[in-house]
Amino acid sequence: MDFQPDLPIPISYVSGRYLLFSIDAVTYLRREHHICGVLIGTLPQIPQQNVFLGLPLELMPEEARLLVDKGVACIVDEAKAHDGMNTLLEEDRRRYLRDLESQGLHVSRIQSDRKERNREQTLKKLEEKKANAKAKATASAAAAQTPTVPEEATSTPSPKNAAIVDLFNAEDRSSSPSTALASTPPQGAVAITPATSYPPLSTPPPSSHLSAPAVPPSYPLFAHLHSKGYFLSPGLRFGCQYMAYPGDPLRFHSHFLVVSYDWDQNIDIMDLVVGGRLGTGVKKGFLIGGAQKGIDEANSEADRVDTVRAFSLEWAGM
Amino acid sequence: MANTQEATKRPNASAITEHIAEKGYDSPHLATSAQVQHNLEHQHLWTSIIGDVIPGQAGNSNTLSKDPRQPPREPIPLLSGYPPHRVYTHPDEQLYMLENGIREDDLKPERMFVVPTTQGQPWSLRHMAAVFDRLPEFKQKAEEHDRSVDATSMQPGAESLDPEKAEKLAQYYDKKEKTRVTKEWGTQRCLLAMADKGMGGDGTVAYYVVHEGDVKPRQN
Repeated sequence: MDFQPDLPIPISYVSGRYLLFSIDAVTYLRREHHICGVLIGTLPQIPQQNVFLGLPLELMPEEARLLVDKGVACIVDEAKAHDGMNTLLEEDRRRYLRDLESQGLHVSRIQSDRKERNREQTLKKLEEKKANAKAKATASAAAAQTPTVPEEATSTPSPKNAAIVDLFNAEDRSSSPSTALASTPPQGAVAITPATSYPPLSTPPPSSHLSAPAVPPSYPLFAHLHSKGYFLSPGLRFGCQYMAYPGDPLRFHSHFLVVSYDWDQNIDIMDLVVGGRLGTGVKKGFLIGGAQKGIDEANSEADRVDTVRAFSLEWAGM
Repeated sequence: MANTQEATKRPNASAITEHIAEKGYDSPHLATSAQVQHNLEHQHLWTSIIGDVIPGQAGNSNTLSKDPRQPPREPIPLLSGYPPHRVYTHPDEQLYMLENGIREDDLKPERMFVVPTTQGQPWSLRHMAAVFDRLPEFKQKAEEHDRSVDATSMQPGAESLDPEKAEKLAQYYDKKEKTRVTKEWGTQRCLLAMADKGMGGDGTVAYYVVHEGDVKPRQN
């Protein structure tokens, strides 16, 4: 499933946050551009749990900036982009709803097909079992030479089997023409909640794109490490600015705790001990670095990224 | 109890303090280097320690030069010596050694470089970069020093090795030379020594390995 979304991907700017609502865009950016972001969507009924989070995906300003600079994404003011929702024509609205319904029908048809297939498979298995049991029973009957026993053996399992089938798919059991029921439209259609709003709305024109996000002074180091193939994620949980993973965070442990400094910013020697010690304690390196050029000395951020120097620290153990 | 108590005599200064006072360093940073050298020599048993200084840019004392390559205002002392055991082995190098049955004891001792610092001293990326820019020069100096001192003492009984092991070691040194360019086994590195001077200083010196660029951590 190598889905290629239309570029540039619109990043929704909502009250100071950079969000992605399309799962296709999220997987594409992770796969092709090593941008992971953080999933922040929780379940409406259990908003406290934060173990299983889903869409939307929040991007750090650094991530959004990097994508915009690469020409992969653009920033769209979410509120403004939805002004068009009010002026949507009645006809368009109806067509959109009809479209959603037909998608829902498609999904329910796939589901019922799958159910039917499962049912057939279990029935087939049961029949095989029954045949086996029968063969065994006749064999044992032949040995015992009592004609009443085999009859009982064959008759008892069938109601039991029926009960098992019942358990497997309770709704389907009531009637065999369940497929016919699914094909009658309104009840069968699965309600679809779209995560994005650009099927009814047109993609916003380039003139309406917001400018590239403002980034913290640590951006050059972020972009430098990203260009070297590292996956970066926010480091708050680990006591640093970024975590640098050598591959997808789902497959790798991180290599570095990253902290950025300006070229002439004073570094407390004690901070180096603290970072080095913390990193070594969790089998990571402590990486510090920054651009040699200040913001006012360089023409662009990209210019500064080329002048980044970094150093990694580990406890020497002596 | 009529007689008054005798005025308390101050204890004698420690050997290292006396040594530093006697020698009279131009800059406090250089005095730190004396303390670290003392620690390396007597606590960690390093040998043939030599020193170097990156001169500071005393001229423009207030306005830091805008050239990012220029070293900082104050001088930075450097030290170098031979530790009795290896201080750092890159994880890939360690893997190679394991695969080829090479133990650390078989290898020639390796010269290490140290930057003495102390708590509260100004430090920045500029300092760090200046140190790494100076290292190749200092390395050359150290090699010359080694040659002048003794050319033969650094090979640990090469003749006592069996030929198979000698072959493996030769391959290892070849590979090591190559990785210096490819940076497979890590980049330039040095030790950052941090001496504790707050609270009167208990003489503790903490050592950290610093690499240039992103070098993957050891999995200890």
